[in-house]
Amino acid sequence: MNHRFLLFSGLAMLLSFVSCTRSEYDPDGVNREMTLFGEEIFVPIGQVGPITVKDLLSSNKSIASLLESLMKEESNGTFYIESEDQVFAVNAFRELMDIPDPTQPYHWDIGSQSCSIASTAALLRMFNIGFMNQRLSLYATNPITAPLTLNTDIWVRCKDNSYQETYSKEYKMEDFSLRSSYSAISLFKLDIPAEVIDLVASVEMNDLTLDLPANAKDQVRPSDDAKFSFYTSFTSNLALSEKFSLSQAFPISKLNVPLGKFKLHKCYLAFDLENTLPLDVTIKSIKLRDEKGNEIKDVVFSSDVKIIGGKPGAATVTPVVLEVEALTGTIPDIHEVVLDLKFEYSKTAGLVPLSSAMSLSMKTASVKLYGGITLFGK
Amino acid sequence: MKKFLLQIALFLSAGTLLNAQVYQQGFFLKDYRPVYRINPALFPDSDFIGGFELTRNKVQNYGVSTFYYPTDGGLVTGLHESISADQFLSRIPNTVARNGEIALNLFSYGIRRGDAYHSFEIGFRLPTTMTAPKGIFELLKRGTTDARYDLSDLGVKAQGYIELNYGYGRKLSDIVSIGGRAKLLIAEYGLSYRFTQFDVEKSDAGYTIFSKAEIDLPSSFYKAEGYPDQKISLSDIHAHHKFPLPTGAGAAFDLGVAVTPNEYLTLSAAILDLGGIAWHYGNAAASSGYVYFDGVGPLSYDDLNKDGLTKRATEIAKKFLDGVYPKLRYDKWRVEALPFTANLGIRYTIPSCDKVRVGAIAQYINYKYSPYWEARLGADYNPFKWLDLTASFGRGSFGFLYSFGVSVHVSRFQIYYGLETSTAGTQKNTTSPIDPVHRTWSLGLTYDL
Repeated sequence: MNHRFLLFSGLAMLLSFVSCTRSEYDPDGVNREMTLFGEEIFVPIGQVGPITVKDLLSSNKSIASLLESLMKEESNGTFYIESEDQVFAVNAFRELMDIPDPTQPYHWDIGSQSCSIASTAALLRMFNIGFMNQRLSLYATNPITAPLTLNTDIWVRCKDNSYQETYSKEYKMEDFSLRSSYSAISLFKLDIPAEVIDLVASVEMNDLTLDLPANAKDQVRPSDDAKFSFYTSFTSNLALSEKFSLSQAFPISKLNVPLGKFKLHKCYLAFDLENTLPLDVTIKSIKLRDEKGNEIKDVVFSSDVKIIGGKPGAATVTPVVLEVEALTGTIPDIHEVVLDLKFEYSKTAGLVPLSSAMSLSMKTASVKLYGGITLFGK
Repeated sequence: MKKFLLQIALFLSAGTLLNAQVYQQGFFLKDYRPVYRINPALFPDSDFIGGFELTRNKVQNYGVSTFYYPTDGGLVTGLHESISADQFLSRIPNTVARNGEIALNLFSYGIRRGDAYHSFEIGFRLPTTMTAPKGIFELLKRGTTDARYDLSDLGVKAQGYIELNYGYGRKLSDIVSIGGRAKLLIAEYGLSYRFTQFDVEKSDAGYTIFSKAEIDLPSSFYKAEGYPDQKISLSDIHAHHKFPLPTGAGAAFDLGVAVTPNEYLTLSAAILDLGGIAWHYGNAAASSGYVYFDGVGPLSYDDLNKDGLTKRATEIAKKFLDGVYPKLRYDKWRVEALPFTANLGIRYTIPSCDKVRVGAIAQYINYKYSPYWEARLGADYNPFKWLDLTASFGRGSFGFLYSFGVSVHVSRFQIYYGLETSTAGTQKNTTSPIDPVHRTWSLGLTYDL
């Protein structure tokens, strides 16, 4: 009996041993909060951007509406504007009807004529956008089939925003022969020096005279468009003047980054900012906004980072590290990031024509999170 | 019926941890008929037939305590911030491995002829392995603090094969016996997905992931249609044969010797499962390549919103999948060795009390991931003719272990049950072991002829 008792007691002990549970590992009420990547996690983002010069200028609605109608792009990406402006034009038949003796040569004293150049583009000067590599050409049309003799004194004038003359050029054209031609005849071409960024304000033709042959009326080409005309053709690149300064907010909207449900304390956003804009760029601030558009004030960024200006082929690369830190708790949900940037003329880059190749790009951007990402379990 | 089959399938798949494991405690049981499974040089006193014997084991080098930590506030995971990285990672083996097997012996027959003993068996085995490298947990816990992570040896594998074996044991003298078993292994089906290489290298600009994976689905039921190097998907796998035709074959051998200097003492040494299976992977695929990830960029200013970022993330995921997409493989044969087992045993019947046997047994299992060893002392008590009891204790790869077994005779029938386990404990209301564990249980029925 004792043997049996010992035997079954031993078996019972063994069975209980096998099935033993340890109360400290009770699966009920497991705290499933987990912090992943507790020391650091490196998340590459790659290249972001570019913010092109066009993006930049278009961020101002007034400039954008002007540029939309004026600005064109050369095959090499350089931006330019062009315009044709009329100095003087009259219908040949109507004008020659009034000659007292049509059978005799006629000395026609037209007097002074002038025109403004690219008057709409002139508005760009208000935004400190200047003009580089300006080229002005003056053309004339001869509506009769015989050559004419032209005399005039031509003035080309550039003026600044205060209408002070900053550059002028005089052409004296004496006994210039306007040959007989169906097409326009070039009177002169003028390349304004590159350092002159004030727009050509006007072209004046003073003491303009034309000497017509006898029976000129009978030699007018049979065309409804037979005119005595003088007009300018103008092209110019655009440049940003020394006074150029633009503070612009670049909102990055609809992000809906749900960071609030994680416990994030600190992260570093690192990137190389490659700048081919001829502008010094200052990151004044970076603001985060919540779903309702309110600024999230519990997060601080380092700010006032300055990036020196560059140009195509000579980019400046500035390493930038921005620190994001939640003052209390965790970095909340982010729905919008607003980059408050200031762009100013760069003495380093100097005066260069604007082109589509100019931009501001974030290269090799990455995020490093420290302290882990906490997932709150139930 | 379907529900019943489903339950059986679930049971089999949940158990999935055997690897040619035998019930070692049977060495001490006086009336354990299929003792030749431990050593073919050992054989029972009588002829017998048996059927539907089930042996199930698992060897896993982790437990609940590897990943969970008791605190004042309750149980937390090792990824909780209150648990330091060193504390968490020190508990995790280099390769987290779970090996297991279910062995169903459908029929056994043992017969003595003079000094020889013959045995025949037909059974089915389902070994499974699941592995995960430590690097994964290091990455999750610490983050990307290192320049390189080796995440290879991530994978799962399950293979089913039929085993037909013939055993022959013979007494060379009154003292020495030898024996061997030859096993014909008929491969039936399997599923394997393993990363043989998964390296993650970090640079200042991003990550490069080198990946090589092998995917095998040997089965006569399904066939992957396509040409070599073709990218395959589930839609390329079609029904094939309706019957479980073999998908490979193999052989294995058990060898043993037993020494009986006198009627009370037995010394035993054996090596089991020397061999392997040549699997024909009719549905085999492999992937190999690398992916460089340097961010979601290039992002334009207009892309900087949720939709834009989601689109880019999707493109990157596709790029990654293209890099590691499985392709049909030319090479469709592979020989895989079984993990062999070596064991040593000694048992002694106490002359003054022949109802008690004592002894010791040790074994080593050569698992590719996490090899296992154990050694223990045991005793057997045969208080009545119809009852045989045994127990043992010792140490193994996972610390202290113990076992017990019982064998009951009813007429010529004998039913036996035994459990061997390390002291892993079990989590409350679950079957999850708390510590790393080696556990085998066996249930069988034999009939003496």
